[in-house]
Amino acid sequence: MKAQTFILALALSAGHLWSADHSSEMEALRKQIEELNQTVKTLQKQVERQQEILKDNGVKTEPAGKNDFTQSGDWKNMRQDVNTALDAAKQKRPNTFNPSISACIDTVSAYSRNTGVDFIPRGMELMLQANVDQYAHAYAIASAHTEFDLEERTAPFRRQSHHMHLGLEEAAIETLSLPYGLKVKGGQFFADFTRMGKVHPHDRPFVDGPRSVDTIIGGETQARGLELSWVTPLDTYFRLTGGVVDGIGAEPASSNQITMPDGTSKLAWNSTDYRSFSDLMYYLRGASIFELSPTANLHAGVDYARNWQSERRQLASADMKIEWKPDAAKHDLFTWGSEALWSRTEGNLPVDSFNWSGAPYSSVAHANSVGGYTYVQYRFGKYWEPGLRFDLTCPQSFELRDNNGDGNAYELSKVQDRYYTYSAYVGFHPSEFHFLRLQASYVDVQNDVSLGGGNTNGNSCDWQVFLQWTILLGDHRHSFMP
Amino acid sequence: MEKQILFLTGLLGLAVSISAAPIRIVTSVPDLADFARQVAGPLAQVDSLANGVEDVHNVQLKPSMVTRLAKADVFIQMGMDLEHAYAPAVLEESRNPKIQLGQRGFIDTSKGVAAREVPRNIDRTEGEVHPCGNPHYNLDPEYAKLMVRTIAGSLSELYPEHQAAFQENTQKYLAQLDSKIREWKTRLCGKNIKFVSYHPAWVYFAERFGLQIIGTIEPKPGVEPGPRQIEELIALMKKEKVPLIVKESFYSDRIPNQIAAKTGARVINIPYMVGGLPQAENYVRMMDCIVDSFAKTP
Repeated sequence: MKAQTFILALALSAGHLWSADHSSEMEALRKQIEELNQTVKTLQKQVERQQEILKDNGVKTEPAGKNDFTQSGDWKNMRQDVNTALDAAKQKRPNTFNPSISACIDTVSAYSRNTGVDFIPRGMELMLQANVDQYAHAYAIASAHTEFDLEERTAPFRRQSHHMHLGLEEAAIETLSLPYGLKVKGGQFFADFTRMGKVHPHDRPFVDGPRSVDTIIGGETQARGLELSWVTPLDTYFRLTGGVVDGIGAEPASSNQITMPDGTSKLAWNSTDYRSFSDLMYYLRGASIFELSPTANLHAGVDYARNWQSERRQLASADMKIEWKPDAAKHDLFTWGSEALWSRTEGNLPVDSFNWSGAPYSSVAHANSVGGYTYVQYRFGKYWEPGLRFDLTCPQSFELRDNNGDGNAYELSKVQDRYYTYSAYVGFHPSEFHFLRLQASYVDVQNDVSLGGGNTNGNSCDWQVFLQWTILLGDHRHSFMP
Repeated sequence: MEKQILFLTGLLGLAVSISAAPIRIVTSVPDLADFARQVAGPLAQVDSLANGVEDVHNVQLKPSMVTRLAKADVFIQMGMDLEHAYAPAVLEESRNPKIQLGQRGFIDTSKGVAAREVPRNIDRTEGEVHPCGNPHYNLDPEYAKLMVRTIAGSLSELYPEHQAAFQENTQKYLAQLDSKIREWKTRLCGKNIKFVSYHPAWVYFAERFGLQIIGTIEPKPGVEPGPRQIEELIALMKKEKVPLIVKESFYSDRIPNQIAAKTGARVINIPYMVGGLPQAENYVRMMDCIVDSFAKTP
């Protein structure tokens, strides 16, 4: 009888184990239990027959009914429990179609020689994603992150500016079943533009974003609009992406803002409150990956973006990355990546920006910024990943200067700074979903390499040390990013 | 008239060449590629994304994976989350609607597998857990037969015009596997070999051939052991008199050799996928290689 109870208990626990979404298995299990029931009854009859034989031979036995487990309350209760569990498994649960949820917590401790020590939760992301139907996939990323302006990137963790912004980082729909390798994405998303600009901060190989990308693109390539991409049917992988969006990244404020002598800021040129088609940003990226050997890939890409409005912005970049895995069976990985970026912003200077001074002004102005970075890193096994990075950024901006030495800073001057950033870092990955990274950076700023014959503010420098601790929760997929 | 005949001949030639085009099958792992070749024979052109040398949980993404999938008619995977590191990403980027999850050209061979080591608690403190259970069922040759049948059945549904050829090839291959399984059982069953493996990949194999897994070098799947865990494993191996350490070919020799030096156990370097070692060029040869290595245990 103990054996019967054990078998039934086993069947019951098996029922619970399989109760996820195996309805066919559930039916099979129910049949097995019915068969078991029949077997028990057959055995019971055999016992009864044996008892009759024994009785005929004068041996005392207990009545058969006493041992009939299938007639007992325990058996009925067990059957009821099994049937209830099986029926429950067939029910559509309320969370059946819930989207997949994942989160990222990205914290950074920082020391800057100029601003001291600080600790901030740099960003928290909450991602929801699911297939909508057979035609579309959708995702949304809500984030809370600390905003920095360009000045603060020199001293990025200045205490008084810790504003945590809650907002929607991405919310987009993308097609699943277009023919000919096409895919359309719409909504708010990180545009497929440049190599590093579309990478979320916690996915970068460094603690901070390269200054050149932050300055020239304006941080991540966040955009609102439509993007069409095409994976060509060539034997060599090639992806062509084009998009129409309201803008790429944050408009770099320093390129079109002028600080007045009274401390206020004015735009060098006016922004319009409405958008026509010419105001929108149109971009194109071509990216390919070449297999140099079974263990080495070369990624290469070029990008161009522009709009046609009076306040015109053009962006261009070229990038490459080599990945080499010395032994396909190991985790070791060598990576060398580089990217060069250029931007040009131009527009008509409004008279009213300067008429208070009576100073001469130029009716058309433009600012060119160039920059780039290169990094090299090596992954030693599963855990350690040291690397080096160099970044050079040369942004142009407008300032009112006292160029003629009359004691009044009324002359509009175009100035160009140079930022040299040298970084060394080492990452430690306890698991795929968890890493720490220590980074030291030396920033050498050569201010005001003036293009307009203006005065010089002198040079400055800063030492920065960062410790990043980042974790990922929930579903995590490796994306294919050319 | 001549022009019309020429045109019709050309059209016919085109039709013949289209109908004779091989079925393009891409598989996630080389074991499946071998099975697909056995089933489809010359009717298919078969490629595998992984090459068998890599740790299947850490396969490097390559652009050729995307271009091959983009042109594929059929994609076959083992499922149970085995290929999570690479297959979903390249499958999505291929943008080939025929082979996406749920489509007829997407074949998952894990259907019908009674999963072992299904985690009771799906929690990452347990290491790199697979929510559906241990996915290394290809190491049980009886499940290999199931995988072959699944591939044959799915291809027959997709290409009914080739059903007879698929079934004939399948029967031949299953007969070969049956014969080899008898041979492998004769060599291993009843020996009650105790062993320790690096990664928990051998549960299906051990069950089939009556072997005993005493422990794993990784304390949890995908987690490297610390000094204390190594010492504990050494003590356990001494107590249980374990004569064998199984190291999958892509793992470092360092820790297995360190344990072997203290326990006197023998380290065997074996593949867990086709292509993992040069001599494991197909499934039967891989199993031969594995069984040979185990059978040498005194």
